[in-house]
Amino acid sequence: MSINCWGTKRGILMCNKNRELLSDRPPVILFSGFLGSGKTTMLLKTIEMLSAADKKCAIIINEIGEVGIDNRQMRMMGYDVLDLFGGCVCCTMKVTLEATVNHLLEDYEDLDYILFEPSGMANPLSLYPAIMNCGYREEEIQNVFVFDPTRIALYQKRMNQLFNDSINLAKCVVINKLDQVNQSEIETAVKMVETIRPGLKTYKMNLNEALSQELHQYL
Amino acid sequence: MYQEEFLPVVFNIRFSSNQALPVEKWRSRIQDVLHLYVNQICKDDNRMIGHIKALAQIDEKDFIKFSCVGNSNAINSNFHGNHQDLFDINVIINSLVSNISEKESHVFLERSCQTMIKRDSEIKIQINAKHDRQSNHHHHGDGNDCPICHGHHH
Ligand SMILES: Nc1nc2c(ncn2[C@@H]2O[C@H](COP(=O)(O)OP(=O)(O)OP(=O)(O)O)[C@@H](O)[C@H]2O)c(=O)[nH]1
Ligand SMILES: [Mg+2]
Repeated sequence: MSINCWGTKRGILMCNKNRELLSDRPPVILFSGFLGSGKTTMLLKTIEMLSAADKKCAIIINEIGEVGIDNRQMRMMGYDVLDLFGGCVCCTMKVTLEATVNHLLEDYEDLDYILFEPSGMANPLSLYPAIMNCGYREEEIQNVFVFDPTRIALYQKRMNQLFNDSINLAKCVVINKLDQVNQSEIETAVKMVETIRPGLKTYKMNLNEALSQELHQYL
Repeated sequence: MYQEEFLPVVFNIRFSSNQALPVEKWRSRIQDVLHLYVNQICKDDNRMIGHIKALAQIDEKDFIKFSCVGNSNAINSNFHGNHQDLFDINVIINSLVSNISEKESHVFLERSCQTMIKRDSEIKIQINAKHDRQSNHHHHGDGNDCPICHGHHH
């Protein structure tokens, strides 16, 4: 797991010894989605947007069991990466994540956002207890589910549970790779979301282009 | 569950040449190797590509990132930096594929590199020992104990 901080803006955040937040804590934006769905691409777009607004953010990327390609990339792009508890396979993801978020809350007092990209193999459900143990309420976790429509069949058949859990926790869904699928696949993707959570906001976009204005406003 | 089906395999390979070659040429050769690798993986319908990603490091800042998602064999690449000529380039590959052993993945990659060398005699490819990222290794920064388990592995 690695943490990555940048930005210049100083905000206010204070924690007491019991880690109860005395003032606003930085929102956690969680980018969920299966392997290769587009989480890193989405995260990079979000960084661009937030840094343009002069926000100070920390990025947590978890690529457990893999060599950290995404965080290496971030580092090469000039973001300051602090390897904290990376590669700790003997410690559970839950404990590691909790310690990482707490470390951020305690030691980086001027953070505006925490952006978190978990491994594409993680069920987001398993990540919530750790974040909530740091004082966040479920509704405070801005979970953006990146729904890669090229994986529709996979989600329908083998990963039904993962899909259900992901949609149930998401604050919004980004259906991306519009340039790689046809209209009926996009419609199927939208229906799949609506069947589980009618009314959940979905954004359709090609992440290789700029973030849609609507999503821009949402974030 | 599906998580266990995807075995992460990491490769560290070095492409080199006796003369400096443009980044675009390296990009195309690396892409060819990845194509050859993915083709072999896709021969068995039981295998599924979770994500095969690779990072070619040009210098401290410049890189090419490659990505293959699903079995369509399309390999996406993004170049970040300035164009320049290079004698060699280091590539880390992170391959997450289901129903394949680490050994098979190695055989496929070696074969792909050999095919590439035969096609383009200008290029040498060396597969290095993989990163020591897995198993019991901890990386907590300069000799620090793991703040979670304090060195006591479970
Ligand atoms: N054409 C197209 N490609 C996309 C889009 N979104 C993401 N991609 C591509 O999909 C591939 C995977 O994207 P990543 O952002 O690396 O995916 P990820 O979810 O971070 O992958 P893991 O970290 O391995 O789980 C990359 O090649 C991206 O360029 C999109 O909207 N359109
Ligand atoms: Mg990623």
